[in-house]
Amino acid sequence: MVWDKACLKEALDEAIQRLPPHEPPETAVSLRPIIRKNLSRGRVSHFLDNHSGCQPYDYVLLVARHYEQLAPFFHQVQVEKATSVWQPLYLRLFSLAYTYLLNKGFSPGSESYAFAEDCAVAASERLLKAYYPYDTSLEAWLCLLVQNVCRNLMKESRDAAGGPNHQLVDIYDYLGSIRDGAAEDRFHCANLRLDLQAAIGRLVPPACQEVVRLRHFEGLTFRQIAIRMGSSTTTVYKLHFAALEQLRKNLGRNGYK
Amino acid sequence: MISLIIPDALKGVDIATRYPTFYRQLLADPELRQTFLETLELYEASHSHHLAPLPTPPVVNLSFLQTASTRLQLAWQLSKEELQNLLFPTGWRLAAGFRSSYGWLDDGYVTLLRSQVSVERLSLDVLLQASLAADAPDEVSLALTVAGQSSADSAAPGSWQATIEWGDYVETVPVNEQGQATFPAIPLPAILQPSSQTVAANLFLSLEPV
Repeated sequence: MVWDKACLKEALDEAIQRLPPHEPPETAVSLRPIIRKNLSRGRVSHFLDNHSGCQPYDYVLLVARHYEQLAPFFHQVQVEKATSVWQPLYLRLFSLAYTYLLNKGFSPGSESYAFAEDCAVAASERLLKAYYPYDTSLEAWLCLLVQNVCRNLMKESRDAAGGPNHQLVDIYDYLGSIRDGAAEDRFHCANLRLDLQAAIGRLVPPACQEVVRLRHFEGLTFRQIAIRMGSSTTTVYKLHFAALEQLRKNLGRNGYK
Repeated sequence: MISLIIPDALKGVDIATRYPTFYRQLLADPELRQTFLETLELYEASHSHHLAPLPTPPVVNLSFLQTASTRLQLAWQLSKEELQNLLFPTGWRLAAGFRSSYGWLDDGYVTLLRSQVSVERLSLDVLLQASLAADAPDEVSLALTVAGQSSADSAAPGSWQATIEWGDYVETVPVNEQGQATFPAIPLPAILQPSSQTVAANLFLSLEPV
C-alpha cells in the first residue's frame, strides 16, 4: 500500500492514541515528535514500503518498544551525562573505532590507538547531541555513528596532509552506466552471454567467481552463500560488489555499456 | 536508512529482494556502498563480540562531557496561537485567491520573533521573519537575522547554526558571516491542520555555536 503523507500522518497520530493501556500517557506525548521527525526523514515510509503487511500502528509499536527500553539510557547519556553510563559507553566507542581502523588496514599499535582515541572522543561528542530515531538497533546505529566519525576524521587528516588529490583516480566512473536500462536487454544477446562467462572466469580472487555463481546461477541469498563458503556475510557482500565492478569494467572494455 | 538495513543483512535477509531500491542505490553509489560495507563489517564484529582488543587499557578521559555541558544553546518557542494570529489573523482565508491581496504581505515579511539576549559576554539581537511569496502561495519562507557583539573568547555570529522545528518541518542551517540564515521554504500543509487550516504546531527555534 502506498501512503499519502497526510493520510500517513493521521494514521500515525491515531496509532499513538491506540497504544496499549500499559504504556504511560506521557509516552504518547514523547513519541509524537519522534515519529513526526522520522516521518519527515522518510524512515516511516521506508519501514512500511519494505515490510509488507505492516501498518502505521506496527511502526508506532516498534518505536514505543525501543523508546521504553532506551529513553532512560539516552536521558543518562545526553541530559544527565552520567559518568557511570559514559565510562562503558566511551570504551565501547573506543573499541569500535579501533576495530574500524584495523579493518581499514591500519597497523595494530600506538599510532592507530591514538587515532582511535581521537575518533572515540569525536564520536562521544557527536553522541551527546545526536538524534536517535528509536526505530532501529542501538548497536547498528552506534556502528554507523563511529563509521561516519572515523571516516570524516581520516578525510580531515588526509586533507591536512595535503595529499596529491590530482593523482586520485575515480574508479567508479563506469558505474553510471548501470542506470542505462537498455543495457539490461543486452543480457539476452548470445555474444554477451559468452563474454560474460569468460569475464566471470577471470574474476579475482577466485572466491568472486564462486559468489557470482552461487548468487546469480543458483539463486542463493548472501547469508546462504556465507554459510556455504564458510565466511562472513560482510565478506560475501564485499566479494559480490567487487565482482560486479570487475565485470562492468571488463565488459566495458569489450564495448558493452 | 543504513542502520535499519544492517541488522537485517546480518540476520540473513536478502537485501536485494527486501530492499530493491536501496540495493540499486548501493550498486550505483560508491560512497553509499562503502558506508554500507564498512558499517556491516563493524556491526558483524561487534555483534559477534569480535572487536579488536585494545593494545593497552585506555585511560578513560571524559573531559568532553564538561566541555559539552558548557556548550551554549539559545532556544525560543512560539505557540501555535501566536503564530496563527501573526500569520493568519482573523478574516484570513487560505483560498489561493485571497493570498496575493492580503495586507500583511505588502512589505513581504511578518515579524514572528524579535528578541534581545545577553549570555555571559555575548549580546545578541535575534529577528525571525516569515514571508509568503506571491509566486509560491503555498509555501512560507523563514529568515533569521542574528546581530551581536561578542568578546574575543565568545563565538561570533558567523559560527552559529540555527534550527527550526515546526510540525513536520525540521531544518538546521548555518548563520552566514552577515548574520543571515535562510531556511528552505515550508509547504503550508506541513504546518496547517488539514481540516481547519489553522496552525497545527508550536514553532521551536534554537541557536547554537557550531
